Amino acid sequence: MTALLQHPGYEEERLQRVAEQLPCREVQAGLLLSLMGQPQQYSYPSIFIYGHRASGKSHVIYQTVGHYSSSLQLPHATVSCVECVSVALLFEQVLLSFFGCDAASLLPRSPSLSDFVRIYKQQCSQSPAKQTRYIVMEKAELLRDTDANLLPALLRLQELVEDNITVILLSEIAWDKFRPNTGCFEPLLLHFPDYSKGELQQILSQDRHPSYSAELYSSYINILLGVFYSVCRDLRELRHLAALNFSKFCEPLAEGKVKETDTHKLWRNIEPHLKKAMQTVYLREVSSLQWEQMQQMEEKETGALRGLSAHTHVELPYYSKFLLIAAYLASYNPARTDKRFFLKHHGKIRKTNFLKKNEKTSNHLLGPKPFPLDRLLAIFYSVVDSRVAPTASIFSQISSLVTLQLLTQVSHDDQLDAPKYKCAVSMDFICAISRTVNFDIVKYLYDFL
Amino acid sequence: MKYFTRLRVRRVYKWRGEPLSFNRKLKTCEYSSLSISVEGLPRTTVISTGQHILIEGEDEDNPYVARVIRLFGDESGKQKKAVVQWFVRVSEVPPSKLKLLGREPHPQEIFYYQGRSCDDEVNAESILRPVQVRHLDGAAAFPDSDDKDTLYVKLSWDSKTFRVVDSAVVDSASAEPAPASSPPPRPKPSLPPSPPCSPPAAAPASRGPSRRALPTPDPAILRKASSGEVRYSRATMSAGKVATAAAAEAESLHSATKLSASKCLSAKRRNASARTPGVRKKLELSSPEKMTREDILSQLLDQELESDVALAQRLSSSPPRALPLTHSLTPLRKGSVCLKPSTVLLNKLSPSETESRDESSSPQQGDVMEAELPSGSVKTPRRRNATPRRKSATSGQQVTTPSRKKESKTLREPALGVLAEVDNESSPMLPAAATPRSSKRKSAQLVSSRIRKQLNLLESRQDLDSDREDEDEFVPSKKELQSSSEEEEEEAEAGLDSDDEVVMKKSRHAAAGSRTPRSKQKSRSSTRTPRKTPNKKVAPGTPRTPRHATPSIPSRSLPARQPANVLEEARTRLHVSSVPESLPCREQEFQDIYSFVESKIIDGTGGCMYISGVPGTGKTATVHEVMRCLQHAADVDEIPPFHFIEINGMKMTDPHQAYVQILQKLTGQKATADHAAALLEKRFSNAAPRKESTVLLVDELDLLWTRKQNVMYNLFDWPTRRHARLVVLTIANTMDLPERIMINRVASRLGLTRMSFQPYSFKQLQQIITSRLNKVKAFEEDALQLVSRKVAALSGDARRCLDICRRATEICEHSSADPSATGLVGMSHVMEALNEMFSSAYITAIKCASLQEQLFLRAVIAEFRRLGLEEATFQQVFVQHQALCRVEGLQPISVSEGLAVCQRLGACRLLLLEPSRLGVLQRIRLNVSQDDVLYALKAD
Amino acid sequence: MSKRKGKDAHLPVGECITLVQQILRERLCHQQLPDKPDGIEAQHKHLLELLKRTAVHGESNSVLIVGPRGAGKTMLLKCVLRDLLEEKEAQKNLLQVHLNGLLQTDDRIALKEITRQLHLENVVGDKVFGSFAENLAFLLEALKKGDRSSSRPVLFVLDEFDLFAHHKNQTLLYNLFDVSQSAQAPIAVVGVTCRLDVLELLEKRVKSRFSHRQIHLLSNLTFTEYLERVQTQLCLPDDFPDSKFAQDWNDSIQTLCEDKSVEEVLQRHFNSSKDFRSMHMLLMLCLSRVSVAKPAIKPADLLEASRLCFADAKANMLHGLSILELCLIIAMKHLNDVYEGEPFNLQMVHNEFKKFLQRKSNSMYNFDQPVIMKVCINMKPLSKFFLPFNSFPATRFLESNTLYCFRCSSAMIGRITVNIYIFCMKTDKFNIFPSKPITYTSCFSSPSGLRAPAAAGADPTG
Repeated sequence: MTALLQHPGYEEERLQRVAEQLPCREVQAGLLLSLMGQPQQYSYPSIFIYGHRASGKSHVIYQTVGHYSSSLQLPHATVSCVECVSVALLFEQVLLSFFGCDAASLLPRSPSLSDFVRIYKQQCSQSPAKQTRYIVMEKAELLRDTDANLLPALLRLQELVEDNITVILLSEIAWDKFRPNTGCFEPLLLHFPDYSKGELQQILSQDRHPSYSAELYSSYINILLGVFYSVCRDLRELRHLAALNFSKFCEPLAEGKVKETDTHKLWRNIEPHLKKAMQTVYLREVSSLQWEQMQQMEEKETGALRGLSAHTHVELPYYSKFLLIAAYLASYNPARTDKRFFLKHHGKIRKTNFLKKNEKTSNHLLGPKPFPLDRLLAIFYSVVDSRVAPTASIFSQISSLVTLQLLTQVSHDDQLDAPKYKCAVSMDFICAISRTVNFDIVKYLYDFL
Repeated sequence: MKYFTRLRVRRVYKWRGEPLSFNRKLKTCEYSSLSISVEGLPRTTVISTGQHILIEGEDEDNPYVARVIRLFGDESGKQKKAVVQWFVRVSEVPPSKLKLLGREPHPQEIFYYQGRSCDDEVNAESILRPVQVRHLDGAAAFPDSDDKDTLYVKLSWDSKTFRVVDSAVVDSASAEPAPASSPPPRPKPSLPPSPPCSPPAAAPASRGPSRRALPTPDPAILRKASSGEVRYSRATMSAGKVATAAAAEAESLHSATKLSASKCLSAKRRNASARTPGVRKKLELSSPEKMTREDILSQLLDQELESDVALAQRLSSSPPRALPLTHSLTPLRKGSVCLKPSTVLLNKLSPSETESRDESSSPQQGDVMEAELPSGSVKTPRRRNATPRRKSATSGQQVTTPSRKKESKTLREPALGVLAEVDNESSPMLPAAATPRSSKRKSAQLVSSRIRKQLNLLESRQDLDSDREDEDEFVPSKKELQSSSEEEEEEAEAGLDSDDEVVMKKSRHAAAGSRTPRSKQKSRSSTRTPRKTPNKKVAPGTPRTPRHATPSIPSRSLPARQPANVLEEARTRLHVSSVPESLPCREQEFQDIYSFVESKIIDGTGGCMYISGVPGTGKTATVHEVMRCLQHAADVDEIPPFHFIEINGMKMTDPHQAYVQILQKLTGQKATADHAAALLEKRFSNAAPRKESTVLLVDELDLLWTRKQNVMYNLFDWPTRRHARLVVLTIANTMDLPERIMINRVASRLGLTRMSFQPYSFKQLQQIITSRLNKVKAFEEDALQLVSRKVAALSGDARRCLDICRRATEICEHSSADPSATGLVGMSHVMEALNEMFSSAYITAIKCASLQEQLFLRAVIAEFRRLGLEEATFQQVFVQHQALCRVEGLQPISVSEGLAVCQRLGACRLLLLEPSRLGVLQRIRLNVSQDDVLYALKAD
Repeated sequence: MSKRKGKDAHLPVGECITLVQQILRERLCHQQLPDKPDGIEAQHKHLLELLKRTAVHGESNSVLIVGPRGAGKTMLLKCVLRDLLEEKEAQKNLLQVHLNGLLQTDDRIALKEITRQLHLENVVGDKVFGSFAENLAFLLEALKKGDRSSSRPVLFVLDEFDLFAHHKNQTLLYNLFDVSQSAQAPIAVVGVTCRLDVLELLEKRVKSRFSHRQIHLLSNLTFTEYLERVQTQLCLPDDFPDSKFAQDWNDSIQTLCEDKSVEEVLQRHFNSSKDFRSMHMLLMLCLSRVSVAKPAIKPADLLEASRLCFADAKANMLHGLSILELCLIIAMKHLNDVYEGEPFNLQMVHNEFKKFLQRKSNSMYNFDQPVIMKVCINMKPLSKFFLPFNSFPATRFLESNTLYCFRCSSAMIGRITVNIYIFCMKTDKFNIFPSKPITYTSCFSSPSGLRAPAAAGADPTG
């Protein structure tokens, strides 16, 4: 495998070390290295690397170009476009890491590209590059949102500064969506594919728990992947999950019930937890510590397995709950159906009577609709059982609901007379709320009629 | 005196005593003395006739000095006037003239002013306070007394020469008060008689206006006028010096047409014949010689007998080499037509200069001198060292070199822009010397100091040879120095017995005698420099003067090659920049503008004119032509002198810069936009003393548009002020600009004097071309026809026409590699040029596009056809593209590749695309007509 | 060099390879100038003549070089300048000012740069003094002072010319062209742009001052020429130290270019684009595979390289998706087909997903909305496949812990429309037509989550 990583101009053992740092990425690293060529040779002006998250883009770059002690030390500047809120920072970063702080201090207060290029030129005329210089830009997609000239200029920077420099762009978006409107210097495209299942297995198995044997851990990983691979292939996510559940997995071993070899028993033991975890994959709602605590708790009250989302409930004042319910009804029921729902003596009106033909989808799919304040109040008065006076407290509660983002005000603020709102909560949330005030909301929902 | 005038105290002026006499005619009564009391302070100062006073001017630190001759006011007593005799401060004398003084002027020194063009009647309210003036005789040294309030008179200054003034004049002038009615420009008998060469400007015809033009003192004008004087006197000196024939040559040498045109204008005005300038001008083109000759004769006749006394003496005393100088002009003007000036320049510049060349070029320098004198180029040196920093005369001289060269060139082939520019910027620049404001500006000092530092590091060699040239520069100036000094001595001893008339006269003649060679030398040295200096400065970016930053492009090390064959010759003449002898096809416009501006100038009023026309119809050129004529007319005093200022909306970064530029060109001072606006407002609204009218050309007017339109408003409002003698000519492209972009109050102020330049018809274009390459046979007739017809049909833009012709000559040159082709530019060449310039590249681009790109275009059209509208998303088009690929038997390309192809087409604007981040949903439009695409695709 | 060639040093292969890499890389990456401009001699002559006239005769000119990207505009210009400066006369006189529309983004910066490059006197070191207005006035003054025959000609090169046309009022262009049309210091303005419609960008007075000279670089080169160019690009120069190696190399290149497969690969490239840059990229990829082990370019390399070049980015990205994500995308695709391209929201997607789960219950778990949403979010900010209709600040999701996220969950039920379509579904991963229900089954024939381990657990019991 290290055969791929041998290249003249770099000493062997370094490459060796780098190769060890890059499991399952030898191909890409090798290709990249061969593109970079020997340090003193010219390299392609700009290289664009794209691939999914956690497909090892930055890792490979850091390992090869530099940034780690173990890597081949090449002159380079790494810039994360998330950090660089202004181009000034970007320029400063680059100059700093190439020529030191005195060069960076030469930049005027609000530097333009031409300032940057000028200073770069005069600096590298003083200290010409013996090796190819690399500028690595992470999250390059953000470059599109800075001023329009930056990206094209970076792509042909080698030509502009007349120096042996290569710009490496890292992004998760395909190059097609980068091209500026008047075209630009086309970079060299490299794609980093995702890790396959086997590769994931191999990588995950590397960080095994010291106190347990490697094969145990790898079997654990195997099970884990078996469950989660179809759901997520994100290496980071999987790492997280593995860390979360490994303790659970090991419990029977610790208690000595099961031997390490008995994968079946272990599987039985871990399966429900994995199922549970499945509900909350990606969500990262809790740190692994909290996660364990919750599981302890659930051990005691042997409730049904519920997704974490059910744990989340908000405390609201009484009327606020009704207001919220009213809002929900208002935004999910067509206005013309209010008569039918909230009038005491409506005749026998069947749903078919006011069923429009063109309604192919239910309102719940179409999402909440805005409604005026007075409609909300009207529904509120009809749903709340006791008499309520339209006091200021009611209105203040509405506004507080808005601040809680349970309601959203869609009309403009200056509309004092008839503001419009949307209900911003989901079905099961409102169900939970109405259960607390034992109000059967489903009866009042047009969709479920 | 600073503190005194700084704090704006309000003074109360009262007559003291009874009126001495009452003048029935003028309804004025004369007083013996005037009392000024500063309110708040008890003491009152008394001004009585014969006393020296300070009169407030624009420069507060040193107000004008004068002596009261008469005090009078109307019987109501609210109008208080004073007749004064002016004294000139050192700062008011143009620095270049100070050289004539031959010594460092004493800061406290003032000069007894006896120039013309300065009204001696001032408003009594402008009197600040009395000042003590002591008269010293020429020899005496200045007593270094520390009190700032005593000023010393040694010499008198009549705006061209210094002359010893005797104490009698200074003190006893009060004895006989000058009658107010007598025109001050006229040298009074009481004053020391005016110099021998008193200009014909004093002829009655032109005195009226010039008088009216100058009510009360103003240093800038004083200098302007003085320099005008100098020019003129020089011109006439030269004229008088040599035989009239030679003089005529010398005169008519510089821009014969202009001279004669204005001359005849003046003639017309004298004997009120109704001949239009334009027509006469064209007449003159044919025969300049005769006209000018008789003009010179008339001038010579104008001069009084003393002038030919002077003539005799000058002939005797002027250095022998002056004569061959001017005589040798004659052969030269017989030479070829327009090639000459540049060749002249060439051998003036060329480092490898043989003796024979030197011989041949010595007449040039002669006529450079002669020629540039009346053109106001003498002022340019002054502009150069018109910087706050002190500098030696030599550096001043070597600075002037570039502009001199330009002068000497432009005078023979008058460039449209340049001459006018020089004229308008040179004179207003001057006060920059006097006013310390410009030097106060921080950045300027910073720059200069930094640059000085850097430069000291930079060049050693430069300094060396600059030194070397300093030496040979110094020779004349030294000579001049001593000559002037010896003259002074003799004048001094003459001054001893002051009241003796005879000695006075003799001394004056002696002075006149000794003066002439000096002026000769000066002009010689100055004219020699251009030939030398450029060759010395070869290094790129070498500053021309090591003192401060001059905007300048380094001059070239190797001389520019001259057009060798007919075609190149033709090309140079056809270049838009090359200036034709006259502007054909615009006589009518020329005439209108001329008469408009002229009338405004003559009766010192203001007005606006709006000139519109599509680009390349010679608007700016015509206006410049007019201005040049007017300038010349002003130079020969047919009309009162005036400033010409030009601003261009495109050449400023922001509309409000207009104020800054105007102010700078008017007075040379730099200011921020707001400050400048305020200053200008002040200048134009209240009656400043000694004011002359200003002609302001505003090019690309529409760019001065601001949301509140205050810039335009001011520009058009100032002319309506009573005292602002401002004529505003505005130029823009669109005819209905006032209606479209101007709010009413602006538009109404602009007024209705409009003029629109029509695009040239093909006949006119043809005429233009032919007039440009006059008698250079490079084109076939029908070729010209074709070009001019084509251009006239498209735009009527003269520039385009000329460009095409030039391109045609090139093509002809390339093609004429084979001997068979005639030297002439034929139809084929012109056709080719036209195609190059007018055909759009789209079709060829499509033809040259790669296969996939062509397919994609096909797909786009197919999709448009299918949808029935001119827009589709990439997705839809791509489906079509895939289908087409299969039809063509190519393997279908991937989406990314398709996007790449699409965006490549978008990059060269065959397609119009939405931002690429929309991916496959981005919408596509064609930027070419479908027919073109189909045609291009079918072709191959 | 020639000496070494004389005794014909036989270098070790490694060294040769290093040299080859060095030479060819300079050619391909660094855009090293060719000795003579092939294919564009006419334009070269025209431009050279023009600039020569400016440099030698002091005649002002202005010209535009127009051509698509990678057509060799800059190369042409550089060649011309190189040839021009060989003339002593021109070389001693000509001043050059190089501007680039990408760098000098407005006139203020451009003016400073010009002043700097002209070494005018308000420059000290690389500091330019004075305000924008002052700089402009200073420059104009300087140019005005000069005149045709005495002052040095200045060459202005405006790269990315079209960008200059977007500056405010086009002040710079107006003034440059104006100078070039009036008797001032001789200047030549050379604009380089890839936009064919560049003249429409110019305002009419600017346009009128521009002498309408355009040099078009529209190469209609045939495939054979293309092949030749490829060959010349790859061949080694004669002064290569090891002449024997060079010989072998050139022969191998020769054979390479004659190879059928190579030819069709090149044909494909030629069809897609004729410009040099893409060709260089291709060759660069080939070159990078040359090593000591394999000291020649094999057809396989070229094929591989072109495979890399023509890889479809979307397909690549789709490969990396997990089953769940794919389900959602397919669901979206389905919705997209149902409501013919009309926008829909997450709720709908979820429903669609649920429907499918009911159909094949055991194949996958039913996920709560938060998870689904999170998955979508993970895909959304990448805007890989669908783009938000009314886009929310992505931060609001990324920093969202559940409670918050959950609360704003249906607030964010913004409408999202799918930007994914049949071509990128046709990847070898699943050869399916997404809108048919069969899609789902076939898509989940791939080993699905829970069964495998269960089976694994089953046999020990059995």
